[in-house]
This record gives sequence, structure tokens and C-alpha cells, in this order.
Amino acid sequence: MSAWRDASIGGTTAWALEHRYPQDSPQPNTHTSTDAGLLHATARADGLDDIDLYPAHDLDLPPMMENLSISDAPPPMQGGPGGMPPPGALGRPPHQPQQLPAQMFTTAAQLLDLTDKKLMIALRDGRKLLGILRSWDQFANIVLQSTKERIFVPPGTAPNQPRGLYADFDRGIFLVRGENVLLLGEIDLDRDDDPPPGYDLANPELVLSLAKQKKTEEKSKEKSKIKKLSTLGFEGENLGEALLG
Amino acid sequence: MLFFSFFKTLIDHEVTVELKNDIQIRGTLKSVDQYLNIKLEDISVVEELKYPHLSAVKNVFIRGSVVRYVHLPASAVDIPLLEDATRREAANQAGKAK
Repeated sequence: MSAWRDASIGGTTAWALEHRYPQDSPQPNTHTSTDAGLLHATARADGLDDIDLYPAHDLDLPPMMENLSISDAPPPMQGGPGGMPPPGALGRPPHQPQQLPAQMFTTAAQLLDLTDKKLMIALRDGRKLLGILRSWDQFANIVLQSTKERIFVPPGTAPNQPRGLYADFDRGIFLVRGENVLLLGEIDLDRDDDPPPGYDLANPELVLSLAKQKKTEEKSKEKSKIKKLSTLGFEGENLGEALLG
Repeated sequence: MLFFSFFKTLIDHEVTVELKNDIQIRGTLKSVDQYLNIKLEDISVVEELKYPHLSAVKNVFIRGSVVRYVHLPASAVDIPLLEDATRREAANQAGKAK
């Protein structure tokens, strides 16, 4: 079909392709027909390659969105099919949004616009990945292609370092479990080549060693904080699992 | 489901989403789903210099599980309607429990 389909790298992509083209795969598919991700996959295989021309929030129903809903059961929402407001929804039908098709308000519809775009993915452990979104499902489990990890070192980490530093590291293909995703950011390609304000591209080894040093410092800080808190009677069950920026 | 419906009424309004890691992202609410995942367009980040990874980002999909607060425009919230819907939802839930 199109170029992106041929862009597989190594064996790992097989999962992504199989996921998107269930009918190509000889194995029994474990997804149910209500699986929003699978609906997405099926619709794409029908040769609708030009979906990115139709952002999902278009008021006129793009062909892609119709396929999402009519071919199979609606997403598992209490509201049921056909834009029926869920029981106990806001009394009178609020003018504008409720007229939008219900299938717009699914994880699938939101991720559909982002498919095949270059994204910045922030993970729960603080890592930042830059890659092309190739596949996903309703839990925001995602597959990234040509992934780079970008490591930032804020200013002042090393003595006499007035500006921040960053470097990219090639990582290849990523399959990220949804629970580890903080956010997906669509990159504005016009601004992509400019370094972030206050930051400069630096030698990867230098960035890596500075990042390591910072991490150790933070770890020991965190440890002493937990220790102090525990003397005050705080159990701190979740203290170790802080979300990192 | 009440809050899902409520957020749907705020589509196309400017909101600020505060994440559990303290990042605050302001943008136009474009979509929300049953998990309260949120999609914002034309974002700007509060204290941008602290979060260099968001400097080239224009639209974001935020996983509902990492949201701490959503700051709403007060003028966009129809409070009597919301109160009404809340009572209705409570009555529904009570009916189900029986």
C-alpha cells in the first residue's frame, strides 16, 4: 500500500503491522470487535490512506470517522450508539458539543489524528522520547518508530554552566505500555529544528554524565526526605514513586 | 459519566491542565474521552523554561490518570445545570444501588 507500511525496521515492527492489519495475520486475533484500536486498524486497511487530511474534530463527518462507528459496535460507553446522551447526562442537551458524534469522544478518535506524526512522549519515569506514532490502542499503549531519547540537563548542574544542555540518543522501536505515558505532544515541525529556549545541543557523553550525576544527587535528596518524613510518622508508601518532570 | 458529559460541554474553551508532576499546560480543549484523557490544542506551558521538552509541541494528548486539576473558565460553567445534572446522577446511582 503506502510508504509507511513498507517502513518496517527489523522484526519488532511485525507486532505493529499485525496489530493494524489483523486480516493479514494468520493467527487468531485476540481482540474483540468492539476494540477501538482494532476498528482503527481495520479501517486503515481498507485503503483509506488519506485520513490525516481529515482531523477527527472536523464537524463534517469525515469518511474515516464513519468507518469507526458504522462498521461495528460503538465504543463501550454507557451512552450507547448514535450520540445518545448517557443516562444522567446534563439535563437539556447542551447546544454545540452534544451534537458532535459520540465516537469523536473516544481514545481512538483522539489518537487517530496523531498517528504517523512525530511526537514527543513524556514517560512516568521522566524520560522524553521523540518518535513517530505508528500504532496504539484504547489504553494508549503505543508503538513508536525511529525513536530518539532526548536527555536534558538544566542550567547549573555543572559549575559554570549558565545554559541548559541536551542531546539525542537513537533508540529504535518502542512499545510503551499505556500506564507509563504521561502525555503525547504533537511536534510543530516549524519549530522542531530550533533548540529549546535556554538550551544548547551538547556532546552526548557530557550530557549523559551530567544527567547521571544529577540523578544520583536527586536520589540521595529523596532518600533523606523519606527518612525525615518517616521519623515524623509518614509511611510514605508512594513516596518512592514520584512523577518526574 | 457526569464529568465526561460535563467536559464535553467545555469543548473549544481555554483550560489549564495541571499534571501530577506540577506542569501546567494551557490550551484549547479539543476532546475528552471516557477515561478523561484530554486533548489540548495550541498549548502554552506555564514556566516554559523549566520544561524544555514541550517547547516545540503544539497539541497534546494528556492521559487522564496523570491529571491533578483542570482549571476551568468560570463563565463557561452553567452552574444551575450542573447542580441539576449532579442531583439527577445521584438519584440514578441511588436507584441502581437498590
